[in-house]
Amino acid sequence: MTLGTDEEPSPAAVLPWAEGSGWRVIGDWTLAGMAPRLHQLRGELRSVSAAGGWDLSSLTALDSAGALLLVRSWGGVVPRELRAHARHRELLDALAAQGAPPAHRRQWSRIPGVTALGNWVLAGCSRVAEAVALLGQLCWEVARLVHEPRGFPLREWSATLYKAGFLALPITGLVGLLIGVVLSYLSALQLRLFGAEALIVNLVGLATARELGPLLAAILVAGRSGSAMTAELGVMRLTEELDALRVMGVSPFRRLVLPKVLALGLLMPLVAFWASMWSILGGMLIADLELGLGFRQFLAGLPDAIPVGTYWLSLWKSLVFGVVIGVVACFYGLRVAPNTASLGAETTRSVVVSITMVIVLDALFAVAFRDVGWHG
Amino acid sequence: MADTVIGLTGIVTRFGERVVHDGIDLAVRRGEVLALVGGSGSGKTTLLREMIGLLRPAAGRVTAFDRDLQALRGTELASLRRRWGVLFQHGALFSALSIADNVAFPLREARVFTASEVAHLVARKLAQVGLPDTAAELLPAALSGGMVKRAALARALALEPELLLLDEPTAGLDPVASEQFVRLIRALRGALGLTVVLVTHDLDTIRDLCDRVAVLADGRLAALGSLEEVTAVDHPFIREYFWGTRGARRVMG
Repeated sequence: MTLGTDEEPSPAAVLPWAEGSGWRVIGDWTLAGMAPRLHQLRGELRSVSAAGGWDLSSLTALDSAGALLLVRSWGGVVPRELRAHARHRELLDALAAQGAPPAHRRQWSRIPGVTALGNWVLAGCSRVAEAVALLGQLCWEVARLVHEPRGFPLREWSATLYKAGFLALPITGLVGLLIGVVLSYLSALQLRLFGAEALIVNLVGLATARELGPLLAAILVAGRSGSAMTAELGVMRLTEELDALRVMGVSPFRRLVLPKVLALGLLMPLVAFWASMWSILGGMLIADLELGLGFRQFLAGLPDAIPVGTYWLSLWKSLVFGVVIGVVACFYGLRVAPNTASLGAETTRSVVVSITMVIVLDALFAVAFRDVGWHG
Repeated sequence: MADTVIGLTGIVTRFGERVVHDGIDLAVRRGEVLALVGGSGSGKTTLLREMIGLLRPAAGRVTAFDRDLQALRGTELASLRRRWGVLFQHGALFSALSIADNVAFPLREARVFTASEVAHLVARKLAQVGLPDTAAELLPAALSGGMVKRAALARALALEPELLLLDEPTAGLDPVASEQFVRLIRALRGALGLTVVLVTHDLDTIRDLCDRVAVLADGRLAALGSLEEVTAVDHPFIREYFWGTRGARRVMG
């Protein structure tokens, strides 16, 4: 390390003091002066006995790093026989009076497993309670909205529709198309084995419209917009913007959370439908290329393959997904503690939790509505 | 010139169309306390950032410790940067680290101290700026504005800088804390021969602490000199700033 390069500091050193049984300290006892040979200096200081006199009067410079080294080698006490400049002495006295801080002791529990489990359960319970409170507040805001519709933050709502919905169309379309291609290609190979080529319409149509479209859209929107919402609310909390809203008599729930949740609830079914359309297009392309099933034939088979009930199911499902993503994103955004590490942690949690919840809900939907949307 | 710590020659700064500095020459002498004074938006903080190479002026030359800041790269620049400590306007403490860890950060980065030496130095620095032990383990968000300033100063002082740059150090401090702050800087200067550049609006601080005052107005250096010399200059901004009712009371007092 090079410190202080334009004026070479005179090297710091400890020499035996000719006049008595003491030690003479010379040179530049500053961080810059000591840095190149700090380790040796420590060793030299350790090898000399603290007893006896110390002459510091020919020191060229002393800063608290140098003083620290000396005071520590003296065992935290300034020796009685000390020659030093008044201001050097002042520094040494101050450091000696300071004393070494007590080593930071970590509290170890005797039953670490039990404590950890207890903390985990308690944290989980309080998180559930907070989530319930947020939902309650949200219901209250919705009720107030019905009562007094003019207070609705329309601009915020439409901005969310644009940012989370419209701007997500290219990526959801592309992913939908590719999934359709993959699905159709793999099933085409299998169906041909059984000579059941015509069933590709049912397979691709049903899978994409009922499951893959809503799920893909939800996962993409959670990753794209859920994280952004958490970060946005989190930073607003860090910078006290939420408090500023509150003191102006504007409820952050009504102004920020409600429009986000409602916008996601509206745009998720649309985005899901959009993704399904592209998947079916992808499937249709492959069916044509691989199985020689023309577009006209494919489209003619679709109404039979996907009854309208399936569409209704996936639209309602998507609405629930959107609301869940919005609530989870806002919940974690409002939980951000005022530091940067927490912002990252809560954003991560928001995305992980919303995607997990979407998949869990999807499974529940699949079981609960197993009789809905089929022919026969 | 060996006694110039920071040299600015012909500094021009533009933000888009707006010209903030239009040819500023300024030399900070070793061991002095220089105050940068100017109205809001006159580019005081910008000039401070240019002095330490955080911002590159559109034209002009910046030297620090007789090195051309624009020409320096890599390790040379890093070692130069260890020679100054900066107190940012809002503290700029690392929000995810405790106060003690914030102050310890540069000490640990220097990689010359043992863990217990770091702890000892941190305790010393915190005591020096008047922070209680109880504050050491808190996160910056739990501290008041004044305490954040002190903690940030402790961090700026951690590596024993030769040059200290302070951006509005006493703004938001109560009079007692400002007084302590002025005394602390004066003491440090006596002990270490510290050079200090500070941006401030506080006329008390200027009067009690500063050797020279540089007044920025209309993108130029309107005046440079001791407080008496500067206040004697006939310039509309200076008249208003130092000779308004509040200013006059402070300057004369």
